[in-house]
Amino acid sequence: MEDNGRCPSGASYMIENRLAMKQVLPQIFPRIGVRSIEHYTTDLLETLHYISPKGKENPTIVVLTPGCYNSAYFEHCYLARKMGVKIVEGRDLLVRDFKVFMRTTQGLKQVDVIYRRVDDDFLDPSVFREDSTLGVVGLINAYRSGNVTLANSIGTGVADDKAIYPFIPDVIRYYLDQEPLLPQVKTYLPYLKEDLKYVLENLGNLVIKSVNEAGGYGMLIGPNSTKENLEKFRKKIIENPRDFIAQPLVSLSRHPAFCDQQFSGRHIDLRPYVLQGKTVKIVPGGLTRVAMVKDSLVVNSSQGGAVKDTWVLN
Amino acid sequence: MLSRVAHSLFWIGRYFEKVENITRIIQDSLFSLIEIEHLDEVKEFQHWKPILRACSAMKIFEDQEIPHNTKNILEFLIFNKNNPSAICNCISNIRQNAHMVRDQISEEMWAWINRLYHQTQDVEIDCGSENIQDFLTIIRDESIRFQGLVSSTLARDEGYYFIQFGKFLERSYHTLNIIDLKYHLLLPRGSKDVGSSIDVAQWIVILKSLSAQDAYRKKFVNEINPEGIVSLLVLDKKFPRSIRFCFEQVFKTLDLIGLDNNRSNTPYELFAQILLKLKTSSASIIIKNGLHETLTKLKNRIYEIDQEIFNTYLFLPEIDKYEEILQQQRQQQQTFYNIVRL
Repeated sequence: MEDNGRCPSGASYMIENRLAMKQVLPQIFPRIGVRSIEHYTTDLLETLHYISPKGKENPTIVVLTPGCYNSAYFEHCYLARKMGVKIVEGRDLLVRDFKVFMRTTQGLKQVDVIYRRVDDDFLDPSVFREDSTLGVVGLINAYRSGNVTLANSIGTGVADDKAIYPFIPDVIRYYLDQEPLLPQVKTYLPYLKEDLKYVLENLGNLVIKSVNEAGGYGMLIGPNSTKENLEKFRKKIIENPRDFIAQPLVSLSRHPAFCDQQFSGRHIDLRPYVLQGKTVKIVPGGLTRVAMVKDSLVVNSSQGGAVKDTWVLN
Repeated sequence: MLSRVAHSLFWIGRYFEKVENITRIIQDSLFSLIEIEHLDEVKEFQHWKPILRACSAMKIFEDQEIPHNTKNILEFLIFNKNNPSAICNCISNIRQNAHMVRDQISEEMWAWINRLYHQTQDVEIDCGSENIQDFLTIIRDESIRFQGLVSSTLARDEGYYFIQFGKFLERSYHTLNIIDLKYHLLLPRGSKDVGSSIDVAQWIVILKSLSAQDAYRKKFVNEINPEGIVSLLVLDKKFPRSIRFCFEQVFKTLDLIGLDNNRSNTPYELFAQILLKLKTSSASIIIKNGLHETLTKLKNRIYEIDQEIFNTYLFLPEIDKYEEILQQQRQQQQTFYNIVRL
């Protein structure tokens, strides 16, 4: 349905969730042969070691967070703690001679790899948004000089852009000279004339998504919407066709969930975690997100979604 | 350790000490208030004035333009958002700092701080009722428990030392302020009342505020006099609230934190000097030179060192963001220019 190419959060929820489940159902796990996911943080650390600039051994690795008021701060802390690396904010870092340093009680210490959870726009006020207080001035200069590695790199958000999504099969064909292995959801781009015509005629059957939004905001689910809302979106699409994409309604899988003292079906989706270093590692599990409101298709945790432990068997 | 983290831990230590000290002094003053006959607003304010001063809150209180009665003063010292050293504001600052360094403190410490915060924010307690004593008792007990938690769950590394450092620095300020109260309470100097029952009663209040009454009796069996007070509260090596004790702790902590060799350690040297002075001084010399004057001098010295510590350990020089941006953009253009020429 869409790609997450930046650093989607939730890996810590996945691990903590598994921990909770193992406490509740200790006997079941070995009997069924559920594959372990706890090595995710070890794998992440290994990957961050692997991408160390100029192959430097024992690099200094940090997690860069926007700070304790960010909704995913728990996760940033969690990952840093499990990997045994420092968690830093932009104000802890500074750039001198194209190198990144952190300010410690023992003076400046060079940083080699930054696992960053700050968006591109805020990363370096000398290049991107000047009003950013979360970033590090000069980070991009250091990055260009090859003295620091960023994970993920700048610009991976392009793959996150919903308007890029329909071109991904072509991207795969062009760069890898292969046919894509996974099929995609048919996606319409209203800024193309014929697509716009189709979208406006079939608005009631489509899902409209704003390309600049995340977290399940700025979305229209045609079949479940009111007439007024449909008209509102029609107007918006005509005004700014580049801001939207349209997809047919994909019926999400349903899974029993315990709600209001009984089990009933709720829609779910799956967010897997993939690490690419020396090899590509796919976590044998993931974050299954659940829409807790009956019939809702919005699974995002920022809108009341819940999560389920996800098992991959041996 | 990151400077920012050290800074937060330092303030956690400092605020906790502050909470405990202020709570203790309010509780004791509430008790001694009971003994005052024919209480009215004037007498009440007279009673609380030194406390407000010791909490560095006198000026802000007078700016509030509220009746100077016990109820309002208590509300001000415990809850008032305008008073930065109000107990509940200190607790909220502790939590804020702890939140930022959550990965550096033990799980138990965080859970405990979080609980204390929720116990003390948005509570509705009538400051004129007896419930306020119970509330203060809870806070005092809890902050003592916290000291235990720190010492039993935290590794003895830099983080721990920064907490201790904040704690003893705050405590030395507090002890100085409390002893100095006597100066403000005091009858005019040279008055024949020195040694009178009022004089002794005032010293007892001071000893009590520092939980030093028993220690005093143990050390000097005879009557309470200024020499005894000074040798216990300023010069004593073993009493945990004496100025010398606090300084020695701070000094030890600075030694343990250490510094790499190529940076000068000014605070350490300054502390060494000040400690040497205390070690070679005596109660009679201090009193001869004027207690208040000596205390003021000491206070100024610590304040100086406080600033030095900031520069040396906690914060590398403040950075001018816009200057940085300009500089980086210039470097960027130069590099780009070289590439184009190549």
